[in-house]
Amino acid sequence: MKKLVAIAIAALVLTGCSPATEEKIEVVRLATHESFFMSEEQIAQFEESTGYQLEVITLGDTGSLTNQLVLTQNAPIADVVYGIDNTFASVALENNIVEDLQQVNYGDVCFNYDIAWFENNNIVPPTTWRDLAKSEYKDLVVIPNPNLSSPGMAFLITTHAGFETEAEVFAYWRSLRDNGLKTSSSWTEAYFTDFTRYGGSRPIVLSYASSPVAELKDGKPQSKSLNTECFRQYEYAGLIKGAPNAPGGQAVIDYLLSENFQEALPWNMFVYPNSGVEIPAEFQEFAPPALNVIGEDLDYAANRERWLTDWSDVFDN
Amino acid sequence: MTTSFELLATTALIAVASAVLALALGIGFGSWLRFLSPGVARVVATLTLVPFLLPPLIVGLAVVGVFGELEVNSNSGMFLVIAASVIMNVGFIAKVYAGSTIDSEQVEAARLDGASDSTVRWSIELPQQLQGLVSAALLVALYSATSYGLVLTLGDGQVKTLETEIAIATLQELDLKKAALYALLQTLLTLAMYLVARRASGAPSSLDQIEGSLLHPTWFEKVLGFTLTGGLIALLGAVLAKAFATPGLLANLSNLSTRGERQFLNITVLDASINSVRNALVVVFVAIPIAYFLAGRRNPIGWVLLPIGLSPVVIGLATLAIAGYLPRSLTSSWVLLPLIQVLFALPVAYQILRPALLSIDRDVLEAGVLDGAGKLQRIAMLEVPQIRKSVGLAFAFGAMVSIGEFGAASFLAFGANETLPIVLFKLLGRPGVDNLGMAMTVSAIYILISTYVIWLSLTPSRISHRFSSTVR
Repeated sequence: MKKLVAIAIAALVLTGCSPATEEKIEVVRLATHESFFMSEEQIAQFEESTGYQLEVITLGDTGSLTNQLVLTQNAPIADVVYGIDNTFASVALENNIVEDLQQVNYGDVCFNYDIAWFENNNIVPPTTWRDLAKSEYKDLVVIPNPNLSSPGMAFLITTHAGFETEAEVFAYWRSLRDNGLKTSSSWTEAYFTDFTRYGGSRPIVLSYASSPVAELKDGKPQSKSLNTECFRQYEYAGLIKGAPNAPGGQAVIDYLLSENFQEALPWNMFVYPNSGVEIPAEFQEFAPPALNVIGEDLDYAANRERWLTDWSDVFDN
Repeated sequence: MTTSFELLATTALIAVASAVLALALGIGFGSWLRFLSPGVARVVATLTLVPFLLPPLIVGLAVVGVFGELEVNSNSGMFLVIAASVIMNVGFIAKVYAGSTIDSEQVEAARLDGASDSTVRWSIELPQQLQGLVSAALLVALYSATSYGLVLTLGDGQVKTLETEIAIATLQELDLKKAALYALLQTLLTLAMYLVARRASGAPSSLDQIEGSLLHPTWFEKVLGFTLTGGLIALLGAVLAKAFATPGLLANLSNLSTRGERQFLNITVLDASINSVRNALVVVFVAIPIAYFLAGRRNPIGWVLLPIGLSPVVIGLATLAIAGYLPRSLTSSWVLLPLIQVLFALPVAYQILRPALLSIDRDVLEAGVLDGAGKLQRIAMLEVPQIRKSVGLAFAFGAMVSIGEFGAASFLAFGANETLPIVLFKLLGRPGVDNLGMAMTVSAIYILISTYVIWLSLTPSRISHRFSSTVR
């Protein structure tokens, strides 16, 4: 009987070892969030020019991405990460999961509304997020969960930046809660499930200033962004500490910063490229960056945990 | 804020309510089941045991299909979770009940003494069955306390149990201390249920033969039997129908080789299935020999069954926590997950193999040994051929456990190594007709395979028959 167990273990060890030995082309693993997109041609181009095989691992929203990397830091599941932003950077840096973070793109977190819905229902759309607690917008708004989603976190920061005192912030949150604010688990769920343009029941969704360009129909905009007092989010790439393929990871970062990737970024992921690369004309016309942004000067690294607890206290009562 | 006590109470409430309801309905259903002709009983029993074997995720999906429009809050969510737990387990209780029928002589003797059928059932039969039923009900409570996939699909974030909060504390809040506290509470709860269940009965009930009975089911039990059977057919049929109709079976099948609408999955469903099958092979080729070895020992080995009392979510978390102390080549390899899943397959395989090995004709073995057969030869040439069916079932059930395992996989399977339940869960969380169609098709395939495995396990066989008679 012991022999049989020994055979089983031997078989297991053999099967367990085989993937490592048969990898002739070196794989580089990129961990990113679920909104990441890179075309087949771009992947082929990266692989041809660097000789690495790219494996993309999406790990949910920015928060899930960051947390999964923290939880698996003793056995890194990727070589390089792209998509950790300024709202979650502190988590990544404090937990020591990345060597260094380099800016790849930016986006402005603003509310969007469904133009047709407001026309059909004869309701005047809001003009700023401060309107959303008004009774005419009851049960109309959805945002992604700030615990997990970077736009959700960005909105928390926006409200802290938008009021003088914490008491006013809490009062605003409570009025949102009482006005039927819905919290979805991720941006993807809020936008592609709850937003009325995708069959949901909420015509106002927390998204990006650039999102309306994705909704053009026959050259006409179908959604509009509330473009004042938004939060500017920067997304970074970085090498994961202890990663098995650091040179490969660096090759990915170089590619993300290359002109080729940067120029395709707006249409691939509906965000704005690093400064120095021109924003496409449609973006400038229908989805320009926000008129003004707030909150960048707040110390969200120091405050994020407390803010999240406060948020839970108001919304999970 | 939800306190840890509230979480413990919610988890326990779901467990106890599911067990009590499954017990009440299962007894009635079992009484109808055993009165059916053997052929019909096998068909009905197969059907009602399918949800018992299915991953909770898929049962949740089926129930969502029926109650889809219900606005989920913490109360209605809890109701759905309990209803789904009952659906999963009622067949199991019925089977235990129908498998512990008193023999016809006792019934006839009591009838001669003028006892009515209901007197025989409640005063003579039930006291004899009570131990087995209590033990089975505790197992149902235990399964319901560890049905993470069910709570996720039906609770919609509104129902909070220890398992969901372990996941949130870990994955969302990075608060491992809090997660560890919840994990401890979860483990105390489930281990306590398991140990009490073990005390109530020598060994947890396994899927055994249905025994016919002379005792008539009541009018109410007949209605219950037809209603439950019809309900289950409708529930499972709805999943199959959707796999055919949304948007179409051929489209769905060909979509399985894609990464979903807008390519949101890391790997195709087909690749995930290949991963799952690969993992299952590792699991059975490790678990079955160990289970075989342990099951062949003279005295029963209690600790083999202990993992039944553990939540896969807790195991996943614990593995993640100790990953830093394990060799990097193991923790970064896909092999880690199936090795962990061996824990869950071991008790299942043990419970199938132990009665089978005990039933082997000792004389034949001794003759073999006298003729000079070595140990390995004895197993391969003499033992296994006699209990071929049980070994086959141990392989099948062990593989099903691995293929359907969600809790531990959700902590340990990433990117190219994701398994079928992980991909299925992602598909369910995403809108789009194609994604729904793919999820339904995967579920339909699960349902068909489970049905086939259970159908085989209920084949009338010499061994289990002899086993049940030796037990009595």
